[in-house]
Amino acid sequence: MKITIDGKACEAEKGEFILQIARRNNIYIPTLCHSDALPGLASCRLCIVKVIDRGRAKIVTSCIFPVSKEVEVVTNDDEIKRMRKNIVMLLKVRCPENKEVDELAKVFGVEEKRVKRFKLDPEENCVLCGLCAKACKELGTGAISTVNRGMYKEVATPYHEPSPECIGCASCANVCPTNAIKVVDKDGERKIWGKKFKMVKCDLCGEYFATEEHVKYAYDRLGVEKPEKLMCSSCKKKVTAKDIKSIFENA
Amino acid sequence: MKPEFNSFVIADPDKCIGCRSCEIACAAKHRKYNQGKTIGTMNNKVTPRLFFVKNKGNVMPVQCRHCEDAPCLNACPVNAIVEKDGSIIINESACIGCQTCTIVCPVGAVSLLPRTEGNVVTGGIQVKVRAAAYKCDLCKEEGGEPACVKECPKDALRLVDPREDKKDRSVKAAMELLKINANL
Repeated sequence: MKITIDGKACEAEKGEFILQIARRNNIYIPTLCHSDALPGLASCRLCIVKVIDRGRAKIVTSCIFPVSKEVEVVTNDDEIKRMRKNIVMLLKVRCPENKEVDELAKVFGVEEKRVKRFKLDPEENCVLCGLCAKACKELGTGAISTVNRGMYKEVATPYHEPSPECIGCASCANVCPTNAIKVVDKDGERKIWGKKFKMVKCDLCGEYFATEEHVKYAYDRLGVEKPEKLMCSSCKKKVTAKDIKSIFENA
Repeated sequence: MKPEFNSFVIADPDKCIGCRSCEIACAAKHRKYNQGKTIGTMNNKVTPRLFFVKNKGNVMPVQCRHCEDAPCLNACPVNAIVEKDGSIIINESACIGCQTCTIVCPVGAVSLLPRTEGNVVTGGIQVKVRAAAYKCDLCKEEGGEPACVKECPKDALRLVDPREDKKDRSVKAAMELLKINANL
Protein backbone atom coordinates (compact mmCIF):
# COMPACT_ATOMS: atom_id res chain seq x y z
CA MET A 1 0.00 0.00 0.00
CA LYS A 2 1.05 3.60 -0.43
CA ILE A 3 1.10 6.43 2.07
CA THR A 4 1.99 10.06 1.44
CA ILE A 5 4.67 11.67 3.59
CA ASP A 6 5.20 15.40 3.00
CA GLY A 7 3.68 15.03 -0.43
CA LYS A 8 5.91 12.11 -1.41
CA ALA A 9 4.27 8.76 -2.15
CA CYS A 10 5.94 5.94 -0.22
CA GLU A 11 5.51 2.19 -0.37
CA ALA A 12 4.49 0.71 2.96
CA GLU A 13 3.59 -2.67 4.41
CA LYS A 14 0.55 -2.85 6.65
CA GLY A 15 1.63 -2.47 10.28
CA GLU A 16 4.92 -0.70 9.50
CA PHE A 17 5.80 2.31 11.61
CA ILE A 18 5.85 5.74 9.99
CA LEU A 19 9.42 6.40 11.17
CA GLN A 20 10.74 3.33 9.33
CA ILE A 21 8.94 4.32 6.14
CA ALA A 22 10.22 7.92 6.35
CA ARG A 23 13.82 6.84 6.92
CA ARG A 24 13.63 4.45 4.00
CA ASN A 25 12.55 7.34 1.79
CA ASN A 26 15.18 9.78 3.05
CA ILE A 27 12.67 11.94 4.91
CA TYR A 28 14.11 13.28 8.16
CA ILE A 29 12.18 13.02 11.44
CA PRO A 30 14.11 13.96 14.60
CA THR A 31 14.24 11.38 17.39
CA LEU A 32 15.85 11.12 20.81
CA CYS A 33 14.65 7.98 22.57
CA HIS A 34 14.38 5.81 19.47
CA SER A 35 16.77 2.92 18.98
CA ASP A 36 16.33 0.27 16.30
CA ALA A 37 17.47 -2.36 18.79
CA LEU A 38 15.15 -1.25 21.62
CA PRO A 39 12.05 0.08 19.91
CA GLY A 40 8.68 0.99 21.31
CA LEU A 41 9.54 3.36 24.15
CA ALA A 42 8.00 6.53 22.67
CA SER A 43 8.94 8.54 25.75
CA CYS A 44 10.59 11.64 24.24
CA ARG A 45 7.74 12.58 21.84
CA LEU A 46 10.19 14.30 19.52
CA CYS A 47 9.20 12.22 16.50
CA ILE A 48 5.60 13.51 16.41
CA VAL A 49 3.96 13.90 13.02
CA LYS A 50 0.49 14.82 11.85
CA VAL A 51 -1.62 12.03 10.35
CA ILE A 52 -4.56 13.19 8.22
CA ASP A 53 -7.25 10.57 7.84
CA ARG A 54 -10.69 11.26 6.34
CA GLY A 55 -10.25 15.00 6.78
CA ARG A 56 -9.32 14.80 10.47
CA ALA A 57 -5.79 15.41 11.67
CA LYS A 58 -4.20 13.85 14.72
CA ILE A 59 -0.73 14.12 16.24
CA VAL A 60 1.01 10.79 16.79
CA THR A 61 4.53 9.56 17.59
CA SER A 62 5.86 8.16 14.32
CA CYS A 63 8.12 5.61 16.00
CA ILE A 64 5.20 3.44 17.16
CA PHE A 65 2.30 4.44 14.89
CA PRO A 66 1.51 1.53 12.56
CA VAL A 67 -0.04 2.35 9.19
CA SER A 68 -3.18 0.41 8.42
CA LYS A 69 -4.71 2.57 5.69
CA GLU A 70 -3.54 4.95 3.01
CA VAL A 71 -3.13 8.10 5.08
CA GLU A 72 -1.38 11.40 4.52
CA VAL A 73 1.45 12.31 6.88
CA VAL A 74 2.88 15.75 7.46
CA THR A 75 6.19 15.89 9.32
CA ASN A 76 7.13 19.53 9.39
CA ASP A 77 4.34 22.10 9.21
CA ASP A 78 4.15 25.15 11.52
CA GLU A 79 2.03 23.40 14.15
CA ILE A 80 4.45 20.46 14.44
CA LYS A 81 7.41 22.82 14.49
CA ARG A 82 5.85 24.74 17.38
CA MET A 83 5.09 21.54 19.29
CA ARG A 84 8.61 20.18 18.82
CA LYS A 85 10.04 23.50 20.00
CA ASN A 86 7.99 23.22 23.19
CA ILE A 87 9.08 19.63 23.78
CA VAL A 88 12.73 20.55 23.40
CA MET A 89 12.20 23.59 25.62
CA LEU A 90 10.94 21.28 28.38
CA LEU A 91 13.90 18.94 27.84
CA LYS A 92 16.25 21.92 28.18
CA VAL A 93 14.50 22.89 31.43
CA ARG A 94 15.25 19.43 32.78
CA CYS A 95 18.85 19.24 31.52
CA PRO A 96 20.06 22.82 31.03
CA GLU A 97 23.74 21.97 30.62
CA ASN A 98 23.62 18.77 28.62
CA LYS A 99 25.49 18.85 25.31
CA GLU A 100 23.03 16.78 23.25
CA VAL A 101 19.97 18.63 24.54
CA ASP A 102 21.78 21.90 23.86
CA GLU A 103 22.30 20.89 20.23
CA LEU A 104 18.60 20.11 19.90
CA ALA A 105 17.65 23.43 21.49
CA LYS A 106 19.86 25.32 19.06
CA VAL A 107 18.38 23.53 16.03
CA PHE A 108 14.79 24.06 17.16
CA GLY A 109 15.36 27.69 18.14
CA VAL A 110 14.38 27.44 21.82
CA GLU A 111 14.42 30.85 23.51
CA GLU A 112 16.48 31.23 26.70
CA LYS A 113 13.86 33.34 28.44
CA ARG A 114 11.30 30.52 28.23
CA VAL A 115 13.79 28.12 29.82
CA LYS A 116 14.78 30.52 32.58
CA ARG A 117 11.20 30.67 33.93
CA PHE A 118 11.82 27.45 35.87
CA LYS A 119 14.21 26.35 38.57
CA LEU A 120 17.05 24.56 36.80
CA ASP A 121 19.27 21.68 37.99
CA PRO A 122 22.57 22.01 36.13
CA GLU A 123 23.73 18.55 37.23
CA GLU A 124 20.88 16.68 35.57
CA ASN A 125 21.67 14.80 32.35
CA CYS A 126 19.02 12.10 32.26
CA VAL A 127 15.87 12.69 30.20
CA LEU A 128 14.15 9.54 31.55
CA CYS A 129 13.80 7.98 28.12
CA GLY A 130 14.09 4.45 29.56
CA LEU A 131 16.57 3.09 27.00
CA CYS A 132 19.13 2.06 29.63
CA ALA A 133 16.57 0.13 31.69
CA LYS A 134 15.31 -1.61 28.58
CA ALA A 135 18.83 -2.53 27.44
CA CYS A 136 19.66 -4.00 30.85
CA LYS A 137 16.43 -5.98 30.78
CA GLU A 138 17.18 -7.35 27.29
CA LEU A 139 20.59 -8.49 28.49
CA GLY A 140 18.88 -10.58 31.13
CA THR A 141 20.53 -8.83 34.06
CA GLY A 142 17.91 -6.17 34.82
CA ALA A 143 20.14 -4.31 37.27
CA ILE A 144 18.59 -0.87 36.72
CA SER A 145 15.06 0.37 36.19
CA THR A 146 12.94 3.48 36.66
CA VAL A 147 11.95 4.09 40.28
CA ASN A 148 9.46 6.45 41.98
CA ARG A 149 6.84 8.56 40.23
CA GLY A 150 6.16 12.12 39.17
CA MET A 151 8.96 14.59 39.73
CA TYR A 152 10.87 12.06 41.85
CA LYS A 153 11.12 9.56 38.99
CA GLU A 154 14.66 8.47 38.22
CA VAL A 155 16.69 5.53 36.89
CA ALA A 156 18.52 3.63 39.61
CA THR A 157 19.49 0.24 41.04
CA PRO A 158 17.22 -1.27 43.72
CA TYR A 159 17.45 0.88 46.90
CA HIS A 160 20.25 2.89 45.21
CA GLU A 161 22.68 0.18 46.34
CA PRO A 162 25.31 -1.51 44.15
CA SER A 163 23.35 -4.20 42.32
CA PRO A 164 24.48 -7.83 42.46
CA GLU A 165 23.01 -8.27 38.97
CA CYS A 166 25.09 -5.56 37.34
CA ILE A 167 27.95 -7.01 35.26
CA GLY A 168 29.56 -3.72 34.32
CA CYS A 169 29.10 -4.16 30.57
CA ALA A 170 28.20 -0.45 30.13
CA SER A 171 25.53 -1.23 27.51
CA CYS A 172 23.35 1.28 29.34
CA ALA A 173 25.94 4.00 28.82
CA ASN A 174 26.23 3.01 25.15
CA VAL A 175 22.50 3.40 24.38
CA CYS A 176 21.97 6.54 26.48
CA PRO A 177 21.19 9.42 24.08
CA THR A 178 22.46 12.13 26.45
CA ASN A 179 25.58 10.51 27.94
CA ALA A 180 23.97 10.61 31.36
CA ILE A 181 25.53 7.42 32.75
CA LYS A 182 28.97 7.74 34.24
CA VAL A 183 31.44 4.94 33.61
CA VAL A 184 34.91 5.45 35.06
CA ASP A 185 37.70 3.05 34.01
CA LYS A 186 40.85 3.59 36.04
CA ASP A 187 43.79 1.40 37.02
CA GLY A 188 42.10 -1.86 36.12
CA GLU A 189 38.91 -0.96 37.97
CA ARG A 190 35.54 0.13 36.56
CA LYS A 191 33.01 2.15 38.54
CA ILE A 192 29.42 2.28 37.33
CA TRP A 193 26.10 2.68 39.19
CA GLY A 194 28.04 2.87 42.45
CA LYS A 195 29.60 -0.57 41.98
CA LYS A 196 33.30 -1.29 41.61
CA PHE A 197 34.43 -3.96 39.16
CA LYS A 198 37.80 -5.61 38.70
CA MET A 199 38.73 -5.66 35.04
CA VAL A 200 40.38 -8.46 33.10
CA LYS A 201 43.85 -7.91 31.69
CA CYS A 202 44.73 -8.94 28.15
CA ASP A 203 47.34 -11.70 28.27
CA LEU A 204 49.33 -10.16 25.39
CA CYS A 205 49.18 -6.38 25.65
CA GLY A 206 48.18 -5.91 29.27
CA GLU A 207 45.25 -3.58 28.47
CA TYR A 208 42.11 -3.91 30.56
CA PHE A 209 39.24 -4.66 28.22
CA ALA A 210 36.23 -6.06 30.14
CA THR A 211 35.02 -6.68 33.69
CA GLU A 212 35.44 -10.14 35.24
CA GLU A 213 31.69 -10.42 35.70
CA HIS A 214 31.04 -9.63 32.03
CA VAL A 215 33.49 -12.34 30.91
CA LYS A 216 31.82 -14.83 33.27
CA TYR A 217 28.39 -13.80 31.88
CA ALA A 218 29.62 -14.34 28.32
CA TYR A 219 31.03 -17.82 28.91
CA ASP A 220 28.08 -18.85 31.10
CA ARG A 221 25.82 -18.11 28.13
CA LEU A 222 27.93 -20.49 26.06
CA GLY A 223 27.85 -23.11 28.81
CA VAL A 224 31.64 -23.53 28.79
CA GLU A 225 34.43 -22.74 31.23
CA LYS A 226 36.17 -19.47 30.58
CA PRO A 227 39.68 -20.00 29.19
CA GLU A 228 42.76 -19.49 31.36
CA LYS A 229 44.28 -16.77 29.22
CA LEU A 230 42.07 -14.03 27.81
CA MET A 231 43.00 -11.63 25.03
CA CYS A 232 41.55 -8.33 23.96
CA SER A 233 39.98 -8.10 20.48
CA SER A 234 43.01 -6.37 18.90
CA CYS A 235 45.45 -8.99 20.15
CA LYS A 236 43.16 -11.81 19.01
CA LYS A 237 43.28 -10.32 15.50
CA LYS A 238 47.09 -10.10 15.64
CA VAL A 239 47.40 -13.74 16.75
CA THR A 240 44.98 -14.83 14.01
CA ALA A 241 47.08 -13.05 11.37
CA LYS A 242 50.25 -14.67 12.73
CA ASP A 243 48.62 -18.11 12.69
CA ILE A 244 47.47 -17.71 9.08
CA LYS A 245 50.98 -16.63 8.06
CA SER A 246 52.56 -19.69 9.69
CA ILE A 247 49.96 -21.96 8.04
CA PHE A 248 50.76 -20.53 4.61
CA GLU A 249 54.49 -20.86 5.25
CA ASN A 250 54.22 -24.49 6.25
CA ALA A 251 51.84 -25.45 3.43
CA MET B 1 24.72 -37.27 7.33
CA LYS B 2 27.57 -35.15 6.04
CA PRO B 3 28.35 -32.09 8.16
CA GLU B 4 28.16 -28.82 6.25
CA PHE B 5 31.16 -26.54 6.45
CA ASN B 6 30.52 -22.82 6.06
CA SER B 7 32.45 -20.77 3.52
CA PHE B 8 34.58 -17.85 4.56
CA VAL B 9 37.04 -15.36 3.08
CA ILE B 10 40.74 -15.63 3.86
CA ALA B 11 43.70 -13.46 2.91
CA ASP B 12 47.01 -14.73 1.56
CA PRO B 13 49.62 -13.02 3.76
CA ASP B 14 52.30 -13.27 1.06
CA LYS B 15 50.22 -11.32 -1.46
CA CYS B 16 48.76 -8.62 0.79
CA ILE B 17 50.44 -5.23 0.39
CA GLY B 18 48.48 -3.48 3.13
CA CYS B 19 46.59 -1.02 0.90
CA ARG B 20 43.29 -1.47 2.84
CA SER B 21 41.16 -1.37 -0.34
CA CYS B 22 39.28 -4.33 1.12
CA GLU B 23 38.15 -2.26 4.12
CA ILE B 24 36.91 0.62 1.96
CA ALA B 25 35.19 -1.71 -0.50
CA CYS B 26 33.46 -3.48 2.36
CA ALA B 27 32.27 -0.25 3.97
CA ALA B 28 31.08 1.10 0.63
CA LYS B 29 29.11 -2.02 -0.27
CA HIS B 30 27.35 -2.09 3.09
CA ARG B 31 26.14 1.51 3.09
CA LYS B 32 22.40 1.41 3.60
CA TYR B 33 21.91 5.13 3.20
CA ASN B 34 23.89 7.58 1.07
CA GLN B 35 24.01 5.21 -1.87
CA GLY B 36 26.32 7.59 -3.70
CA LYS B 37 28.65 6.57 -6.46
CA THR B 38 31.92 7.85 -5.04
CA ILE B 39 33.77 7.84 -1.73
CA GLY B 40 33.22 11.59 -1.49
CA THR B 41 29.52 11.03 -0.84
CA MET B 42 30.13 8.82 2.19
CA ASN B 43 29.32 11.34 4.91
CA ASN B 44 28.83 8.81 7.65
CA LYS B 45 31.48 6.78 9.43
CA VAL B 46 33.42 4.21 7.41
CA THR B 47 32.60 0.90 9.06
CA PRO B 48 34.35 -2.07 7.48
CA ARG B 49 33.44 -5.60 8.44
CA LEU B 50 36.94 -6.97 8.05
CA PHE B 51 39.86 -5.61 9.99
CA PHE B 52 43.38 -4.85 8.93
CA VAL B 53 46.19 -6.12 11.17
CA LYS B 54 49.80 -4.98 11.26
CA ASN B 55 52.26 -7.45 12.75
CA LYS B 56 56.01 -7.36 12.46
CA GLY B 57 56.79 -8.55 8.92
CA ASN B 58 53.16 -9.44 8.28
CA VAL B 59 50.19 -7.33 7.20
CA MET B 60 46.80 -8.71 6.28
CA PRO B 61 43.06 -8.32 6.93
CA VAL B 62 41.31 -10.62 9.40
CA GLN B 63 37.67 -11.59 9.01
CA CYS B 64 34.97 -13.88 10.36
CA ARG B 65 35.31 -17.64 9.88
CA HIS B 66 31.55 -18.31 10.02
CA CYS B 67 31.97 -21.06 12.61
CA GLU B 68 29.53 -23.95 12.52
CA ASP B 69 28.56 -23.64 16.20
CA ALA B 70 29.34 -19.93 16.38
CA PRO B 71 30.18 -18.72 19.91
CA CYS B 72 29.04 -15.21 19.00
CA LEU B 73 25.63 -16.50 17.97
CA ASN B 74 25.23 -18.44 21.20
CA ALA B 75 26.48 -15.63 23.42
CA CYS B 76 24.44 -12.74 22.03
CA PRO B 77 21.85 -11.86 24.69
CA VAL B 78 19.44 -10.13 22.30
CA ASN B 79 19.68 -12.77 19.53
CA ALA B 80 21.01 -10.21 17.08
CA ILE B 81 23.30 -12.82 15.47
CA VAL B 82 21.60 -15.37 13.23
CA GLU B 83 22.58 -18.07 10.77
CA LYS B 84 21.44 -17.62 7.21
CA ASP B 85 22.38 -20.00 4.34
CA GLY B 86 25.53 -21.19 6.03
CA SER B 87 26.73 -17.71 7.03
CA ILE B 88 26.66 -16.06 10.42
CA ILE B 89 25.13 -12.58 10.16
CA ILE B 90 24.74 -9.79 12.72
CA ASN B 91 21.44 -7.93 12.49
CA GLU B 92 22.86 -4.45 13.08
CA SER B 93 19.54 -2.87 13.97
CA ALA B 94 19.10 -5.34 16.84
CA CYS B 95 22.57 -4.94 18.35
CA ILE B 96 22.81 -2.97 21.62
CA GLY B 97 26.59 -2.88 21.71
CA CYS B 98 27.08 -4.98 24.85
CA GLN B 99 30.39 -6.47 23.53
CA THR B 100 29.62 -10.02 24.70
CA CYS B 101 30.30 -11.35 21.18
CA THR B 102 33.71 -9.63 21.01
CA ILE B 103 34.71 -11.35 24.26
CA VAL B 104 33.86 -14.89 23.08
CA CYS B 105 35.02 -14.74 19.44
CA PRO B 106 38.14 -16.97 19.21
CA VAL B 107 39.49 -15.13 16.16
CA GLY B 108 38.73 -11.51 17.13
CA ALA B 109 36.61 -11.09 14.02
CA VAL B 110 33.95 -8.90 15.67
CA SER B 111 34.66 -5.27 16.43
CA LEU B 112 32.61 -2.50 17.96
CA LEU B 113 32.27 0.50 15.66
CA PRO B 114 30.05 3.63 15.62
CA ARG B 115 26.63 3.24 14.08
CA THR B 116 24.30 5.96 12.83
CA GLU B 117 20.63 5.15 12.53
CA GLY B 118 18.80 6.67 9.61
CA ASN B 119 20.17 9.03 7.06
CA VAL B 120 22.87 11.48 8.05
CA VAL B 121 21.38 14.80 7.06
CA THR B 122 23.76 17.69 6.49
CA GLY B 123 22.67 20.46 8.84
CA GLY B 124 20.60 17.98 10.80
CA ILE B 125 20.99 17.22 14.45
CA GLN B 126 24.16 15.42 15.57
CA VAL B 127 22.89 12.64 17.80
CA LYS B 128 25.19 10.83 20.19
CA VAL B 129 27.09 8.13 18.35
CA ARG B 130 26.22 4.65 19.56
CA ALA B 131 28.45 1.64 19.03
CA ALA B 132 27.33 -1.64 17.48
CA ALA B 133 29.11 -4.88 16.60
CA TYR B 134 30.32 -5.42 13.03
CA LYS B 135 31.74 -8.48 11.30
CA CYS B 136 31.98 -10.05 7.87
CA ASP B 137 28.67 -11.31 6.46
CA LEU B 138 30.04 -12.60 3.11
CA CYS B 139 27.98 -9.81 1.48
CA LYS B 140 24.98 -12.11 1.81
CA GLU B 141 22.45 -9.28 2.28
CA GLU B 142 23.82 -7.22 -0.57
CA GLY B 143 24.29 -10.19 -2.89
CA GLY B 144 27.01 -10.97 -5.39
CA GLU B 145 30.67 -11.72 -4.91
CA PRO B 146 32.18 -10.48 -1.62
CA ALA B 147 33.33 -6.90 -2.25
CA CYS B 148 36.76 -7.38 -0.66
CA VAL B 149 37.56 -10.38 -2.88
CA LYS B 150 36.52 -8.41 -5.94
CA GLU B 151 38.42 -5.21 -5.11
CA CYS B 152 41.77 -6.54 -3.87
CA PRO B 153 44.37 -5.26 -6.35
CA LYS B 154 46.69 -8.19 -5.66
CA ASP B 155 43.98 -10.93 -5.58
CA ALA B 156 45.13 -11.74 -2.07
CA LEU B 157 41.60 -12.52 -0.82
CA ARG B 158 39.64 -15.56 -1.80
CA LEU B 159 36.37 -17.19 -0.84
CA VAL B 160 37.12 -20.61 0.60
CA ASP B 161 34.73 -23.55 0.45
CA PRO B 162 36.40 -25.98 2.88
CA ARG B 163 35.05 -29.12 1.20
CA GLU B 164 36.11 -28.08 -2.33
CA ASP B 165 39.48 -26.89 -1.03
CA LYS B 166 40.17 -30.19 0.67
CA LYS B 167 39.09 -32.13 -2.42
CA ASP B 168 41.46 -30.04 -4.57
CA ARG B 169 44.33 -30.71 -2.21
CA SER B 170 43.61 -34.45 -2.10
CA VAL B 171 43.56 -34.56 -5.90
CA LYS B 172 46.84 -32.63 -6.05
CA ALA B 173 48.45 -35.01 -3.54
CA ALA B 174 47.27 -38.00 -5.55
CA MET B 175 48.73 -36.52 -8.75
CA GLU B 176 52.08 -36.00 -7.00
CA LEU B 177 52.08 -39.65 -6.00
CA LEU B 178 51.32 -40.59 -9.61
CA LYS B 179 54.35 -38.60 -10.76
CA ILE B 180 56.60 -40.22 -8.15
CA ASN B 181 55.39 -43.70 -9.07
CA ALA B 182 55.89 -43.00 -12.78
CA ASN B 183 59.57 -42.20 -12.19
CA LEU B 184 60.28 -45.38 -10.23
